[in-house]
Amino acid sequence: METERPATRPTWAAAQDVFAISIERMLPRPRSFWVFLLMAMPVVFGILLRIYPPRDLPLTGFELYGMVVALFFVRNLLPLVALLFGSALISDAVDSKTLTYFLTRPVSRLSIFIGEFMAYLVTVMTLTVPCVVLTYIVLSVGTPQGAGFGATHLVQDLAACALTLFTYGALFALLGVSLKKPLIPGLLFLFVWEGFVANFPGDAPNYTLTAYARSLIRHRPAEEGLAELFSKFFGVGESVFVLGSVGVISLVLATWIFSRREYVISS
Amino acid sequence: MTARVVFEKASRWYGPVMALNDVSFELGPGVYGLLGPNGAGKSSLLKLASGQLRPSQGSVRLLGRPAFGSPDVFHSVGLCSDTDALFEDFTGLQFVMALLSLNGFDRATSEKLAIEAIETVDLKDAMHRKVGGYSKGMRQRIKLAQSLAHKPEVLFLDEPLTGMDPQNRKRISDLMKRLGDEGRTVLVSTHILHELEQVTQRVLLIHNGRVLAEGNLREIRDLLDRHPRSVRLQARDPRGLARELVGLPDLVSLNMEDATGHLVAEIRKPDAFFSRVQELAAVHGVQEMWVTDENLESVFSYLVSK
Amino acid sequence: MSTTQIYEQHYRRLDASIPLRGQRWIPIAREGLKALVSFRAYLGLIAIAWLPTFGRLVQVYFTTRFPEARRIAPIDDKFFFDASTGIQLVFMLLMAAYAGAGLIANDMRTGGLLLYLSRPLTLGDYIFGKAAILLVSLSMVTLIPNLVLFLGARSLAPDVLGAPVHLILIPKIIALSLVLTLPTAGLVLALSTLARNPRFAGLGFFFIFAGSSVAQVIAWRATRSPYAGLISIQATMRRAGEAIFAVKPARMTADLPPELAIVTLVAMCLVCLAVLKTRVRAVEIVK
Repeated sequence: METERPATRPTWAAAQDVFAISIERMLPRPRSFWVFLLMAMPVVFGILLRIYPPRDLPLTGFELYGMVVALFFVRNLLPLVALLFGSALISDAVDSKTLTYFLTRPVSRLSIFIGEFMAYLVTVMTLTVPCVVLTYIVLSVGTPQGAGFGATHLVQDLAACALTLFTYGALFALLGVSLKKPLIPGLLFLFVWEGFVANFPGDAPNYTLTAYARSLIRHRPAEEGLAELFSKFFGVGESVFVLGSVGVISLVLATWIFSRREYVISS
Repeated sequence: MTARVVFEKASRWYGPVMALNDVSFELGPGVYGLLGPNGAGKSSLLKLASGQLRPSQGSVRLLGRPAFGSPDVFHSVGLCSDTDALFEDFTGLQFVMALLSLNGFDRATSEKLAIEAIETVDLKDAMHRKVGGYSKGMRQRIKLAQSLAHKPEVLFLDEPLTGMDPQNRKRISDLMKRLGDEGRTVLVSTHILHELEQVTQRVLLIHNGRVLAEGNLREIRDLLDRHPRSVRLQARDPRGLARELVGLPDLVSLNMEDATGHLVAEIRKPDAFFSRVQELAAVHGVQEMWVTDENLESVFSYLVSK
Repeated sequence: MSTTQIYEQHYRRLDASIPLRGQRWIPIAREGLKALVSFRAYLGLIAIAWLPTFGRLVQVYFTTRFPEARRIAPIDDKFFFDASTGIQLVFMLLMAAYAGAGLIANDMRTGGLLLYLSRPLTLGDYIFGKAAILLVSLSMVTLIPNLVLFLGARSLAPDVLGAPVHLILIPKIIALSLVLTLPTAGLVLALSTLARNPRFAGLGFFFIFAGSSVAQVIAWRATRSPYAGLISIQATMRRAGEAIFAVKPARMTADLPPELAIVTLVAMCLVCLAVLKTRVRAVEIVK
C-alpha cells in the first residue's frame, strides 16, 4: 500500500525559498555592481557641486535633487533597470539552464515566479535606495538652499521609485516570459513610445506609464522646452492606481503564461 | 508491481519534427537503461517522464499523477539532467542545500541530507569550494548529489557517468545498482553500453522516437529468433569439429578464421547446438565456446538496422 | 635543437594559398554579416531605419512642387545634419545594441573565442573583424541612408543642390557618420567584452547613452556650463557634427569648443580599445 504523498508546497513558503536562492544569485553579480555605479552618478555629481559650487547656482539643492529623482531616476534609469532585471527574471534561468532545478521540485510555478519577482524587487531597491538617499543628503541637507525641505519628500520619492520599479518590472517580466528576445521591443517601448508619446499634447500621455510615474514627484522643477509645454500631470491617487493596476495585471498575465509554458532546455 | 512511470501511447513533436512516437511502457522498482543513438528521443523521453514537457498525444504518468503540472510528485522524484548547468557562485554544499530547501526541509535537515549525498558521491573534500571551480567530473557528481539528496523513489539520470574517472564510474554504477536493490526506480540514459550492462539487464531501446524493444536483455535476445546467434569455438581439431557441425539442421553458416583458427558458427537454436558441441567436446578437444552477440551493442545494432 | 615558445605561435602552419597579412579579419567580418543578414529582425530594423529617409525625400519633392515650402523647410546643410542626428540616431542605437552587443559576449560565453584564437589570427584581426561587422551594420542605418538622401535630393532638386560646390556634403556626411559610428561601435564592443550576456551588454550601452544625456541636462541646469555637454556622449557627438556641418549649435553646448568634443570622442575610442585589448582573452581563471 502506498503512503500518501505530500502535496505541493504552500505558495508563500515555497516563494520565500525561491527568493532566498534567487537573491543570492541576483544581488552580488557584476551587473548589479555596474548598475549601482551608474545610479551613483548623481551622488558623485552632487559631491563635486558641493566641493566646487558655481557662483550663481540657478537651482536650490532641493530643486536639483527633485530634478535628479524625476528626470534621472524615475524617467530614465529605473525603467532601464527594470528592463534589465525584469525581462531576465525567467529568461536568465533558461539561458543558464538552471530553470530545470526549480521545475523539478515540489514547488508551483506561481511560487517560482513570485520568488523571482520578489528577488528582483529587493535587488533593484537595494541598488536604488542608497543612491537616492545619498543624492538627497549630498544635494539638500546642510545647504542654505535646502531649508524647508522635509524628509517626507524623500520617503514619498522612495515610494515613487518603488512603484516605478514594480510596474515596469512587472511589465518587462511579462515581456520576458512572452518573447524570446524582449530587449528590442522593450527598448522601443521605452525610447519611442514612452520617450515621445508622453510629451504629445492631448490624451496621448494617458497611455504611457512615464506620465503617471513622473506625476508622483510633485516637487520637481519645471522642465525646459517642449517637454514642459506638453507634459501632462495626474493626481497622486490616480497615478498610484494606474501604475499599481498595470503592475498587478502584468504580473498575473506573466504568471499565467509561465505556468503554461514548456521550456525545452537541452545541453 | 506498482508502476511508477507509465507512458501510454505518448508522442511528442516539436513543430514538424516527431521526437517520440507512440511510446508505451511501464517502470516499476529497479534500474532501467535507456539506450539509443543521438537524436533517438532519449532526452525527450526523459523530459516527458520528469514533467518538463507535456506529451503532444497520449499520457505520461509519474507516481500515479500526470507528470506535467504536478509539482507534488517531485517530493519523490529526482533528476540529474545532462546539461552542465549549476549555481556557479554557490559552494557544493550550498548548492545541494538550496535545492533541498525547495523540497521543504529545514536548514538543519537540509545540511544533514546534503552532506550525506555529497559523501555518497565522494565530494566531501570539495563541498566548501565554489562549484564554478569544479572539474567536469566534480560538476557531474554534485549534480548527482542534488538528485539523490532528498531520497527520491524515482530517479532520472541523463548520462550520469559523463566526465568521471574509472574509479568514480565504478562507484556511481554500484550506487545505481544499490538504489535499484532498495526498491527505487532508476531510469539511466547512457551511451556507455558496457557499463550499462554492468548496472542492469533491463533496457529500453529507442531509435527514431520509437521504442524498439523493452525488457530483459536476454529475453530480448531470445525474441530475436529470426536473427541467428553467433558462437565462437576454440578447439584442438577445428576442422574435424567443423565436419561434425556442418550437418546440423539449425546451422546457418560456419567459418574458420585463418588468424586464430577459431570456428565462428551462426545458429538458430542455440540449445540444440550447445548439446551437440558438448557431445563432441572430448573427441575434437573443444577448449572454449562463447556467444559473441548476446550483448547490448549487437542487439541494438541489429534492431536499428531492421 | 631549437625550440619555439608556444605563446609566440610561430609553430602554426600556414598552408593557405592566399596572402594573409592585412586580410585575416575579412572572413570574420564576412561570416558575421552573413549570419546577421539571415535574421529577419536585422533586415526589419534596416528597413524601418530607411523610412525617415524616404520621408525626407518626399519632403524634398514637395519643395520642388511648392518652392514656398523651402522657406519653412529649407534643403540646406542643416537638413542633412538633422537627418543624421534626429530619429536616425535612435535607429543607430538600436542597431548597435542588436548587432553589436553579442558580437564578443557570445564568443566569450560559449568558448568560441578559443576557436578564433587557436587559428593564425592576432587579437587585432579578431577585434577588427568584429568591429567591421558592427560598422557595416551601423552604416546601413546612418551613412548609406544619408548618402542616398543627398543623391536623391540632388537629383530631385538640382536647382538647390546641383552645383559642384554641394558635393562637399558627401565628405561631410561621411565625416559625421564616422563621428557617430566609431565611438558607438567602440563602446558597444567594449561592453560586449564586459558582459557575458548580450542582453546586459545592450542594455548597458543604453544605460550609458541615455544616462549620460540625462546627467548632462541636470548638470547644465545646475551649472549652466557648456562643458556639461562633455558628460553626454550624444551631446559630444552632436557638437562635433555641428562643427563639421557649420550649423547653429544647440543651446546647451553652444560655447563648448568642438575641438574638445572631438578630443573627448577620440579619448573614448582609445579607452574602449584598451578595454578590448585587456578583456579579450582565451582563458579565464576562476577563483
